[in-house]
Amino acid sequence: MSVTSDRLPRAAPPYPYLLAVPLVVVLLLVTATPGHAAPTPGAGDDERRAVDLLTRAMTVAGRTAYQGVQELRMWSGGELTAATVRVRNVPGRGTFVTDTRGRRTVSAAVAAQGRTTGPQLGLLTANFRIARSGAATVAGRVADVVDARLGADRLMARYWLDRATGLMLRREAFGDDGSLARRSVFTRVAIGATSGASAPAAAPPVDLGRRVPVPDVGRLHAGGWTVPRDLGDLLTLYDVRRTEYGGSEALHLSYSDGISAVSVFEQRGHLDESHLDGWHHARVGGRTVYVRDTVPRQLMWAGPETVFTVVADAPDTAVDDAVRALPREQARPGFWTRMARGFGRIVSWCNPF
Amino acid sequence: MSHLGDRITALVDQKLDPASREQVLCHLVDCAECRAEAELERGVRRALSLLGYDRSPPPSLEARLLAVAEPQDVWPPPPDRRSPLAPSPFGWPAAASSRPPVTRTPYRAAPQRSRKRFVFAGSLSLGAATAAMAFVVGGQPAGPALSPPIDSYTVEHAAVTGTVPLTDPVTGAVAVSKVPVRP
Repeated sequence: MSVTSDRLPRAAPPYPYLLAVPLVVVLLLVTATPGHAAPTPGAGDDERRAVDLLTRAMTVAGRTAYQGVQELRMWSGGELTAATVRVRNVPGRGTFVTDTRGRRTVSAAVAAQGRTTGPQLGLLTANFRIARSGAATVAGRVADVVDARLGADRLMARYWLDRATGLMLRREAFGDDGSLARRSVFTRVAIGATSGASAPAAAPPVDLGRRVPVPDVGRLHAGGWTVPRDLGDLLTLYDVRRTEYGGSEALHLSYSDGISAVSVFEQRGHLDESHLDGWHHARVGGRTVYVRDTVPRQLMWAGPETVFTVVADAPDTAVDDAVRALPREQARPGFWTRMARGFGRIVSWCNPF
Repeated sequence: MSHLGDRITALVDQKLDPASREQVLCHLVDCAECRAEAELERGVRRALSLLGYDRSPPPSLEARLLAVAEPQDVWPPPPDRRSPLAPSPFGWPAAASSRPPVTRTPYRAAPQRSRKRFVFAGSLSLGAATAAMAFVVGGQPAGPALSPPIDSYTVEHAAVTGTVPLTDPVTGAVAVSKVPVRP
């Protein structure tokens, strides 16, 4: 199930990888179903066991109630970003996350819609060598440890999965230089419904827009959208959606390598820089963009007649690659660029169609 | 009976040959009207003589004035690019122009040239105005002013990427604290 190559195979348009990822996921789910043949002993045993553990972790929120305190750490640009949150999951209602002062975060509405990590799990097993490396104790609970390595021994991520329930108790992701980039860990956790605690109301559904069929992804280019197949070396496009905000259409591109996740949002227009409270300038990927200090990272900049917004749960190098792969507007367009753009707009005004 | 007309002036100016002069004088005997006009012109001539304007104009001036009085073609002839032997569009041989060749003077060519200048200047002005408008329009930002709904984007990111369990479970804009990390 593992791939030892350092890079993803480059697929030819129109994005066959979008088809391949669901197939891998289906294969994983089928092989993880109880009742199938026992894993063959030997070197592949740990790999198969690791895939089984990760597959079970995908569905834990839908069948197990839990709550606890979780610490988040992110190292980026020589700074540590830290947060402590309370997490409560109620199957059928959603995962509710509040900060330490009791304020609910915007992620509270997400969980009730079910897990969509299938493509990410497919990418994880396709890009990295997955293996169970041992056992450990996290927050007083026994956990199986699963490693994701690039090539023979380059550790890229490590997961601690609760042996009893499959819950992800701890997670660490590493940068290209081997340094720790992100870590989330339960410092306290309780499994099962807590007596006396009132069940929160079900989270409202989130409008995810409509998914763009694979054959239509190539046509987005003709419509003037920027749809890179890859962001950097590993992040691969695996989901495309069209949504609408305030009458303006937005394109949502999802990239992942299985460990990191980057969402790119495109919206036609120009950036209104008078309403950017909480944002500040930062140098990312060789250019100046607007950044907000949050988990996950949020970046924004103006492209050619398009505003790009990136939400990234990824190390610095992956975010740099994402910014580099997307266009930006020239600070001062040249004379001919400006004239060509002007003539184009005049012609568009005169075109009755 | 016809009157003398311009010959009265010629008589007063003594420009008539003897035979014509005799004829005119005979007419004046019988025509009181012409006789009165001849007397009037003689009086004018006498008055001019008293004022010293009895000299004849120089021949060159007289020639130029006569040239101006001659009829001329104001408009240029219609273009005739066809050979006289070439068939006409209607099937019969083209008739050779009966008009004598006219030497074009700057005065006669002026209307067509000014028309070309007018068209050229108009086209140039239109092109310059369009280019200026393109330059201005091209420098303006395109589309509506946007403030991306970052919170909604973050929720979508969390829902599509499935941040639980393979990535961090917290996806919103949580309150974070940042501290520098010593290398």
